[in-house]
Amino acid sequence: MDLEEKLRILGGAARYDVSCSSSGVRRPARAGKLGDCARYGVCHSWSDDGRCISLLKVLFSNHCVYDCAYCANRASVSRPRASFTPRELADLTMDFYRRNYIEGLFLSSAVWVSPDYTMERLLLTARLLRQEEGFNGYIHLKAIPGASPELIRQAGIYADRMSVNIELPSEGSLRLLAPDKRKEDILGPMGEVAEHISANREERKRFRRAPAFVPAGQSTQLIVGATPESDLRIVELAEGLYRRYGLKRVYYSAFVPVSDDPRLPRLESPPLLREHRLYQADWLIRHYHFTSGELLDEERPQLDEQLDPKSGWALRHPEFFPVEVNRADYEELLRVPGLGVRSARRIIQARRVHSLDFEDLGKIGVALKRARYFITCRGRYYSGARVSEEEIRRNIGTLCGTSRGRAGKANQLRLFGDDGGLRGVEDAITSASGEI
Amino acid sequence: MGVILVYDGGFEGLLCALSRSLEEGEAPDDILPVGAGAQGSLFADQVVVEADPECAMRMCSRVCECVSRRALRKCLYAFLSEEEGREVRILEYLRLGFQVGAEVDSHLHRDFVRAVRDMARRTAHEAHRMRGFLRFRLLDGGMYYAPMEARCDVLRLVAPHFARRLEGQDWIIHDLVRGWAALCRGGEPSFVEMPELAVDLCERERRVQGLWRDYFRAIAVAERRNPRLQKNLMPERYWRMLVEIPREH
Repeated sequence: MDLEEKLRILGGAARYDVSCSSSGVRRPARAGKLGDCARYGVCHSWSDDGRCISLLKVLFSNHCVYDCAYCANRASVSRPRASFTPRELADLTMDFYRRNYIEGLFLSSAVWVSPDYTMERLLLTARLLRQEEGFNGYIHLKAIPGASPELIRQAGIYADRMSVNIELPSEGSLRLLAPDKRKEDILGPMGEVAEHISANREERKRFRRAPAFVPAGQSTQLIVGATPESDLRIVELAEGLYRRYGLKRVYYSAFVPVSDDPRLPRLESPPLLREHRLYQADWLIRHYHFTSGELLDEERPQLDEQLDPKSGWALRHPEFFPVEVNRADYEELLRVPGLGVRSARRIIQARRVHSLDFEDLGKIGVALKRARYFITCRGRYYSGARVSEEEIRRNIGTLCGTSRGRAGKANQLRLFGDDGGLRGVEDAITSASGEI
Repeated sequence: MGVILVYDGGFEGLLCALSRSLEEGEAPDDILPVGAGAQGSLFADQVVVEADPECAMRMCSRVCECVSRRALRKCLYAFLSEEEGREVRILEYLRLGFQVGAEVDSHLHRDFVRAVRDMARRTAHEAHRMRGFLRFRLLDGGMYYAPMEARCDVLRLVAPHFARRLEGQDWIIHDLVRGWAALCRGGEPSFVEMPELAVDLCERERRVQGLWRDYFRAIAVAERRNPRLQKNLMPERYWRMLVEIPREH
């Protein structure tokens, strides 16, 4: 089989992995090596589905011994199979990198022969790139569930980021749809990587030249909509992963039906709007200091598809509002629907020298469409008086472009909201331009 | 009778014109690069300000000391945006800067502070896009060549990035819009005028481009096709530079 054919099969097989992030690590250029990594990451292209391409994202092999119902490469399905060699992958990565197509390599794999055999192949590829080719760009490696701790530790020396995909948000679903995988096989490597990262951090405090271990941290991915877990369970799980394992990112992947297995739900299209709301909730937890309990509870276990989660929280907490923009602190500003990190910072900067009214807010680039119902400027509301909850709900609902009946369409068009969830390279532009 | 200052079109020249205005406390009707003001005005005298490297250097240190380094960088980036009317905006920005110091950037309620910030951001954003969208092609003879069509004059901003990362690789970034290029054969890049260039791709190059196109097609999820989102994030004006996009664009 020629290389073109392999790339089509194994690139195509990797497309359900969401992450393509190359951010979060600074790897300065070094004499005699090719490449560097900027902390802000770089997107090089966007594919037809609007997702960014930052890394060459491929499977090493799609020969799989497992038979997970949700997966396009499961053992029981008949489809073209292929495997790279480490040499082929190293050459592809170098060729693409020299032409500025990519920031580096994201190497995953189906479980070929055995977890250890597969993990060894990934490790060999990374070692070839780093040691023989002198590659100094970004490498993201999958930790194969069930692989031995020693192989995972070695891989972490070459990788900037590692990830283990949880895929299914509960043990019960795992047992049902992925009978070959056990929860411990997934959480084991994740815990080991987390421990090595924190030990390495301590070591580097004492010995600055100690080699870095997975400096860009860990991430994982959850499939949404293949199993019955509520948004509450999913968001709680994500929150736990951020706290307990120090994960950098949890990615959510709307379930794309790849088989007619009776254990899987029948969906007309992937639940993209639900995925979008989960990214918004995730963003609120990571950057806006919300907790899962503030967004969802046992009585309301699903995120409102008609309303973004921050607006939802605001409408349930009228006692918190209005927020006076000329006095509120940063944390309070972040709680206002429609105000993001950038707007909040701009407000704080501008009000140092000038008391702000609504016109000023518009000028400095603060979007008022949602915020205007929740703030006052010099004690005054935008429309003179407080607006009732029903009216806010009506107006914001239409704004989101997700009013009933149009939801499916709108959701296609407006997926890229203020959460940047699909962008992959986190806040790339903001950091690159340094808010100058 | 007003005054129109005419400078040589470069950043140093502009700094000299700004320095003159600020020192003499005059408010010129306009500041224009040479050529742009050729049609002249009935109501203003044109005064040509010579570019003087020493004067420009003095101005740089004054801005750094009395305003901030950040402000100087912002002026440079705003200048490189090539937007019409940027010179007078930068003058107003610096005039306020010399009054209030580093705090000038907080005066966002003033139009010219926002204008300078926005122009500078546009340049920074464009430079960042070029870091992603430039595509090098391997030519016969081992040189990597990347044509560039950018809206702002970002060649000097992106060249150091590639000099760092493409160690040991000879390359040219050719700014097709402005007719000059950055050339690097190890070490620091140099800048040369380069009007047009016919390039011959080597055999290996065709194969690698084909592989990249295969990959680009394979990685998209058909069920999530979203051309509008794709164009928002990667505007069509850049597609001509991209080898992965089919020819009809």
